Amino acid sequence: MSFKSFRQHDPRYLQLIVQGALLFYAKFNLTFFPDWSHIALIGVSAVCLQFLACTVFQVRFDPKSTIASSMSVSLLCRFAGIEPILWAVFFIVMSKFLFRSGDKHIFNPSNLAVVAVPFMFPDSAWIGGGQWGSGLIFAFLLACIGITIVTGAKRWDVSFATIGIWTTMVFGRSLFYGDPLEIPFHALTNGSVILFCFFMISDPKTTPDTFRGRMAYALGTCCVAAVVQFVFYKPHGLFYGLFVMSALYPFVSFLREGDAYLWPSQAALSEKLGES
Amino acid sequence: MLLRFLVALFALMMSSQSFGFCGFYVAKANTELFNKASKVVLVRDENRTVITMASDYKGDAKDFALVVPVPTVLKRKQINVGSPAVVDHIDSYTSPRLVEYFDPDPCKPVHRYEKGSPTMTRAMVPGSGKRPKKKAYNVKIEAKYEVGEYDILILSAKESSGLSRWLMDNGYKIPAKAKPILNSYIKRGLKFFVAKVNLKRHSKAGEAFLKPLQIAFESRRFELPIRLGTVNSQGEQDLFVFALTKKGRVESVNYQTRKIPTDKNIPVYLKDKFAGFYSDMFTNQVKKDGMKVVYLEYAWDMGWCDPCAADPLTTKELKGLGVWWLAEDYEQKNIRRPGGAQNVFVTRLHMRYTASSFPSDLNLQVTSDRNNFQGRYVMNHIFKGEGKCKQMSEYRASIPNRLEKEAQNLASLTGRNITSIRQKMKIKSPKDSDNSWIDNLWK
Repeated sequence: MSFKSFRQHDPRYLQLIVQGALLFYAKFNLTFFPDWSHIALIGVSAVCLQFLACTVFQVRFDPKSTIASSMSVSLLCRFAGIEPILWAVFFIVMSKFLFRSGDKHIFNPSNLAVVAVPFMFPDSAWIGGGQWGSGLIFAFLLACIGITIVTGAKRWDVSFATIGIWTTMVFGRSLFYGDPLEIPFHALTNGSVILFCFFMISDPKTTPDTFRGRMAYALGTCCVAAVVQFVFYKPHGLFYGLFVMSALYPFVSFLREGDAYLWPSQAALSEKLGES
Repeated sequence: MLLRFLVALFALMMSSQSFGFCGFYVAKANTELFNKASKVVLVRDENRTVITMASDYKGDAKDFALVVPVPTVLKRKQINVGSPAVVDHIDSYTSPRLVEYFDPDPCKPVHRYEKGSPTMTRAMVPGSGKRPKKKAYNVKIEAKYEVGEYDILILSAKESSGLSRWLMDNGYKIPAKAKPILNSYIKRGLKFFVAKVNLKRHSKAGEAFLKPLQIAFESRRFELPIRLGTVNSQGEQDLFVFALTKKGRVESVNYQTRKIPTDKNIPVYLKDKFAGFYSDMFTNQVKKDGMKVVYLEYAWDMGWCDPCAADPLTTKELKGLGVWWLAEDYEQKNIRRPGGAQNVFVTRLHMRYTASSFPSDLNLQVTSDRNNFQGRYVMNHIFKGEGKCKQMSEYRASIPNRLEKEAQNLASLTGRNITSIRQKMKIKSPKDSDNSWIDNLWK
């Protein structure tokens, strides 16, 4: 298999491998880790609900994105009850069918679950804090950068743009306050930031389809995140930033320009149908 | 038949009770073990915070001074002087604990019972007692109060140099490296709570120790400003945070939070050396984690405890710490009941830090996690009686492995040498045990 043909494979496979490795690392190295029962419940329920929804809406069943979203939610969110878990599953799956603009679903499913469920259930769901430790962060970052190079996915520009803008904002704020550089550096070595940049905002199915649109998306996300985190002192501002930008997507025309992204399997199917 | 059933049922109920934690504690590891340890009690719900800063200051009262950044100009009713006994009480109540079990006679199986008995500051800037000089400091005294034995000032400043000079000229020895930190706080819009002991009122009160200072305010920020405390310290220091919330466990958002190793069986010779064991264990854990972690030592619903390292806090004591939401009809004065107060969840966090390992202030969040956790270490005393039943020989055969496991636990937790542990326990290593058949071969 040539490198070129390998790059044409679905990038979600590598993402799933990295997320799976993270889950196993977390299980054996972190003392705060979600129950395996919660992880299994989220994953299995989401895949089953995806199957049902695909049957009802007569769409091809492909569980990869659903599994990836389930793992992201398991890595980021903590639950103290079944009801918030079920709502998380609902958002992971049904948001793709119910909240749409043209050919795209508006919200990244895991982002919507991570923002909406703790809001709906403040007494039984929360976003886990900085649980990862700095050693793992660099390994994780390298793995993510590796995926972007290997897969050559065209939508990774939004990940790097988000990292660049957020880093600039965090460092800029610290420089304004006269903080030592260890402070912004420490703020950026956070697993949830890397998970967000490479597994959430990078979702090609929800980000704008033009370079200009994606850059505006990244900038808007970071600006909202800065207000949430530095003015309202609420942690995890990036998740709220993406949520707001996603909600604005249907109303801002230049964000909606361009051809919708297709996964390699969808592109191949579309090509086949075109030929026939 | 019915009578036999009832007797059996009664026996079962009795045995269930005796299986509960009816015993007493051997020891606990409170904050006194640790040098340079600060204790802070944080009460938080929504945007409301009450902070109690306990002083372990042992020097001359005239040299005591405290500088704390606060988000707002505090009014007099937002400042209080607390009780050191209550802070010590919550420390004891949440301390990691050592419990001991006594194995029953294997020939007469009876449920094990637990035997145990109830068994944790700074960031002070010593002052020099100088009189204030008049200079252009660009410092405004926003408010001035007398609270208990303390004279309190709330300061705002435009820049750190002026504030530093003002503090130095008024007897607060602020090191030069504090200036950038003060500058950072000033730019963030924080004010400065500054406290000194009024010697007349202090000697009139006749107290040997300084009482904890308490402040209450509303702020979206939920953080502890630890940076200022690091500049005056000579190396590592420990911070204990006792968080009291309605919702659940408190954790750090910007540093990793880990549970302390718990439920480990350790050798019985540590019974009178638990303090040293825990101190070594904590130091070893800090070393493994690169001194970048906040440790959870206790998280529990204060409605109950099991086992209890100390009597539960009364409603009055909790209200004294700032828990404002406790209903008046639970007022119990000084009566302690086993159930303790309701609707209060306590988290005990312990961190060892320096300016480089914890560069940012500690940002916290209240989670909905109400799972209980405690640092607990277990000693199992071997049954030393005689018996000729089959279970006795099985029991005796299992002892070497059990003791070896305890030795391994101790070595792994503390980093101590396994050989010297085995020597103290008077056990052989598994390798030597394997060869022991040769020792007795031709005797």
